[in-house]
Amino acid sequence: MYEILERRRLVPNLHLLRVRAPETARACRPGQFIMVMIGPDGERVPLSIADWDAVEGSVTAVFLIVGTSTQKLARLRAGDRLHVCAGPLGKPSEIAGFGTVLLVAGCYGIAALYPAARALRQAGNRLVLLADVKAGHLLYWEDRYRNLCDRIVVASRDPGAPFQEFASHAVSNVAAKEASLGRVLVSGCAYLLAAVSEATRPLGLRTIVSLNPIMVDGTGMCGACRCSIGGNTRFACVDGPDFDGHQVDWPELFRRRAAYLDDEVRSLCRFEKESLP
Amino acid sequence: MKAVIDGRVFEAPGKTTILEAARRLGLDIPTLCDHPRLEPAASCRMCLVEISGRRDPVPACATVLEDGMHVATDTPALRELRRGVLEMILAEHPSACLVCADRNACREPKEGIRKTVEPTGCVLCPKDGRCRLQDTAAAVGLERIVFPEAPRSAEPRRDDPLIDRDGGLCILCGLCVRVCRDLRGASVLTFVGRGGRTTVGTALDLTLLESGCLFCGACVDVCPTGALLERAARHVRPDERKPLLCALCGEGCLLQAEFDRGRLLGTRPAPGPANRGQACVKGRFLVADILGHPSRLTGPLARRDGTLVPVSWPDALTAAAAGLRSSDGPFEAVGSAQDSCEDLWALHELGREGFASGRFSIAEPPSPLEVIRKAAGVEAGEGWPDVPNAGLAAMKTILVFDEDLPVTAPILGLEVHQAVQQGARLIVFGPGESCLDRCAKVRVRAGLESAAEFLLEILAGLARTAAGPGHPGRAELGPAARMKPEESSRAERAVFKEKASRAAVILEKRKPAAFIFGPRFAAGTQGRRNAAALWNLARLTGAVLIPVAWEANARGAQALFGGGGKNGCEGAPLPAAGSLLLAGDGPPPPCREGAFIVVAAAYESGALEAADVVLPRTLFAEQDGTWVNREGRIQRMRAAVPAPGEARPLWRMAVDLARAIGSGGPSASAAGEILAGIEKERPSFAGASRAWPDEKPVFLSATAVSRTGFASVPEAGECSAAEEGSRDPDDVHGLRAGAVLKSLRAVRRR
Ligand SMILES: Cc1cc2nc3c(=O)[nH]c(=O)nc-3n(C[C@H](O)[C@H](O)[C@H](O)COP(=O)(O)OP(=O)(O)OC[C@H]3O[C@@H](n4cnc5c(N)ncnc54)[C@H](O)[C@@H]3O)c2cc1C
Ligand code: SF4
Ligand code: SF4
Ligand code: FES
Repeated sequence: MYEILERRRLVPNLHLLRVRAPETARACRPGQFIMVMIGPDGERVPLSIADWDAVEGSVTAVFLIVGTSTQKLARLRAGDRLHVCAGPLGKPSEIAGFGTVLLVAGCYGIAALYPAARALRQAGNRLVLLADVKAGHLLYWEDRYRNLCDRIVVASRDPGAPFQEFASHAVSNVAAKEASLGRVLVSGCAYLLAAVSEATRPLGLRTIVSLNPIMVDGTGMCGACRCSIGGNTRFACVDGPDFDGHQVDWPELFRRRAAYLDDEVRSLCRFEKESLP
Repeated sequence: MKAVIDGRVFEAPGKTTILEAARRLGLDIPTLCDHPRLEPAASCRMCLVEISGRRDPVPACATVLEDGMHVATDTPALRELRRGVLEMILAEHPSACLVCADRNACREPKEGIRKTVEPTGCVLCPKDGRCRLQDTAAAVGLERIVFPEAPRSAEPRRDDPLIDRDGGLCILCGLCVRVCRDLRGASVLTFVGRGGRTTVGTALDLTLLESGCLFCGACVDVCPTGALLERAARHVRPDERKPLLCALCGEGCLLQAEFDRGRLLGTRPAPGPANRGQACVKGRFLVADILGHPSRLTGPLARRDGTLVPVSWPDALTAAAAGLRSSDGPFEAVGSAQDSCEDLWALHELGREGFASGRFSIAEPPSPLEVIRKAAGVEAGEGWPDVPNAGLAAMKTILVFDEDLPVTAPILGLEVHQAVQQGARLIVFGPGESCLDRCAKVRVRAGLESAAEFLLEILAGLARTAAGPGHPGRAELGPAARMKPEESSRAERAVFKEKASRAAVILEKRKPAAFIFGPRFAAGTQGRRNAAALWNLARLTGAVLIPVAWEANARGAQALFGGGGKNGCEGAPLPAAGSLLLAGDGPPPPCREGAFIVVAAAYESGALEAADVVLPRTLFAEQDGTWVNREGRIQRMRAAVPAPGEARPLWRMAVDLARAIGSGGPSASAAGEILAGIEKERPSFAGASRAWPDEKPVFLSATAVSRTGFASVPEAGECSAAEEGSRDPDDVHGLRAGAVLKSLRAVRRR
């Protein structure tokens, strides 16, 4: 059992979860994820590691409410326990001196890219954050990034934000102003990963996406997270989750992510009927 | 009256608003806060139009078109104005997706995350694609928003049954507040907070349940955005819609059923003639739960060696026919006032013609209509002057006896509320609480056993003045109006007398009046006394009588058979039955030891214990059929929802049984054939085959009630207290919906 130290709504729909998992906390590296199970018969939910504290023995993740499991997670409170919190899983992100790194983050990805940002900064990179939020009030962790980034650009619908559009349109504008851009890291919803990859392809910018196919065991055994990278079959849980965004077969990823939509909806309807008044 | 709108001539007698007139010309003026059944509020300002000669634009919804007016509804200035108004609205509503260049490309990949709790954009919102705000943004041609997004509300509230509230999506159009207060008479929702924090909520920030919400769903259906949504169902998108007639009470609401690949997702009210776009908690939220309840029977059962085992339909029919044929003693078929006319007629024919000593009865006690007819001595076979919903508006006084109308007759309830808003005086008599209490001029809190006393008290007062010596029937009224000394304390009597005299004053001055009463008022022998007293008061004041039965087809059953109770069982008790076909829910009629019992049921229940054969039946939405609502409106409906498993309509079982027995009885291959037979034998059903929604509204053709005299009121001593059965208005063919459905239990405050 893994004690929840904190569960808090950051902005609408996005919640922070801090769990006591000392062994995971000791081993975490940027880009990895944990697998949590709420109860003995709940499903396994992969969540990117957004932060950890080896001293406290805690791991932090930020999640978006999108279905039954995440609704359940959002109702837990400090003191409650998770049945399982396994990790760290997946290959860590590559951290090196790339010159300037552009971090494109949306949704939970703003938190998920934070460990990589910290490590990349330590490795001496110049960092630019392009945060994709629908409106300014939905941005979180700006304070954390301000200490790490040389530039923060917020793509939102608000006036004053330089881009009243989706981040993928902003990428080329931001890139044009950065001389030594060596790498782009993207995390967030699958559509953002795909759209940014398509935007950087003509610019020839190496773009690493943190892929989020449906996962079941997260240890390379079930094949649920199978995806096609440059024509080769890869298991995102053990071969990734970081992949070259220009090599990903996006239509296949979208298809596979939507494969269980009917069951997800049915499960959610049942859960809401049973668990709410 | 003649005016010009956008260069087109509009001519019509009477008053119309500019909006109405424009719509009739086929012009599309964007609106966010108008509703066909509500007074205009002109709060959204989207419908601004220009009138030549006036400096400022005016709201089309709240401006009456005048003779000679020249109106422009679509000018560059107006478009700019509307865009500006919409931008202001969208400053407080998640609006990124409305102006995002990627909004179409990202929709499909994001389908899986539409199940979110707090939508922060259209792609995450359950209302996406069916949102009035989206439509309006498109109509106005919005491309950018100059104000930053400043959300108004905290987290969504999901602490009530059935309804989720997300103030973050609210645009303060006020439709929900108005529909709840002005149409439903519940006044649960109100604006709370001030300025930028204003949102829709309840007084003291209570839950809807604590605030007296009826969970009628009217607010959910008028909400132009996703601020008020139906729990769970919000996550599913229907791919098909069909009309469905609700048979969960006597109102006969037209609903629209929504399906996803053939599976019923839910229902919402449709603009049917009886309900005009409204419904109640059951019709709005619970039809799918009721039809799809896990206790539904899906296949026939027959008793083998003492236990019921699944069998095929042919085997079940053979077993049933053999058992019915070979048992001694009379056969009795028992239907329910919830059944369609075709079901009842086929059962009745089976009883009448299938067996030498067959008979037919209805499981429920006599309907309130039947009770008052008997009490008044109205001949069987005579019609009844039904009062259509629209007729309530003309009433100046309405007297309601212990019917919690929002529960037992929700549409009548809202018509009563509308009438009260238009000035009708309301008198409410009964022991329980009701949301009508608030607007009652006279509220008598007393048990129904003293209803007759109250009525006689009024009668005594009125008889002195209204029914002078020359008044017809004065002679009968005299003894009937004589009061009996009561056992109650003198103080109570004084209050009672005082309320009765106030009621008398109102009744005398404010005509016409309507008297509304239901099964509790009419129950037992006391009910006959109540009914006789009410009849007399109606005669004296010219009031119309509106009996409210709880069952969907009580009116139809009454018109077919003088419905309710053990038909033909009045007077000498009939010999106990030797075999039974039980299709109604209720205590079975007296039968012999070892009688052969066939049960036609929709749900598993205790009734199955005595059954030799069980036949699974379909329910209202699953079969073609005809129901007659409280107004006497004959409504036909086609099957909309697939039957569970092998369930069959009751009328078909009766036809199949008659064939298997090899005797006379019903024969038909479609419900329509049975209806044609009914039409032939029951003149009041003339034209039923053409009944709405096939063509035009058809009502039971009522011959005027010829009886005009007063009824003799039985002495109190002759009456026993009402034999209160265990019936509940939420029962559905044996399913105690008010007890087994969690949300309905909560809504009924159980
Ligand atoms: C490596 C990785 C890291 C992730 N990190 C985060 C994170 O930090 N924060 C966050 O909010 N989400 C993250 N996700 C996605 C998250 O796992 C899903 O949103 C979650 O499992 C949904 O579960 P649910 O029951 O609430 O919703 P469901 O209704 O079951 O699913 C909603 C949608 O989420 C996707 N999904 C469902 N189950 C899974 C699963 N087991 N694995 C992946 N996707 C799934 C599907 O596309 C589905 O349509 C990550 C996914 C992966 C693979
Ligand atoms: S459900 Fe009906 S009663 Fe309840 S708040 Fe909405 S409109 Fe009012
Ligand atoms: S008022 Fe009666 S007929 Fe109308 S939806 Fe409710 S239960 Fe159904
Ligand atoms: S999650 Fe099972 S193989 Fe990757």
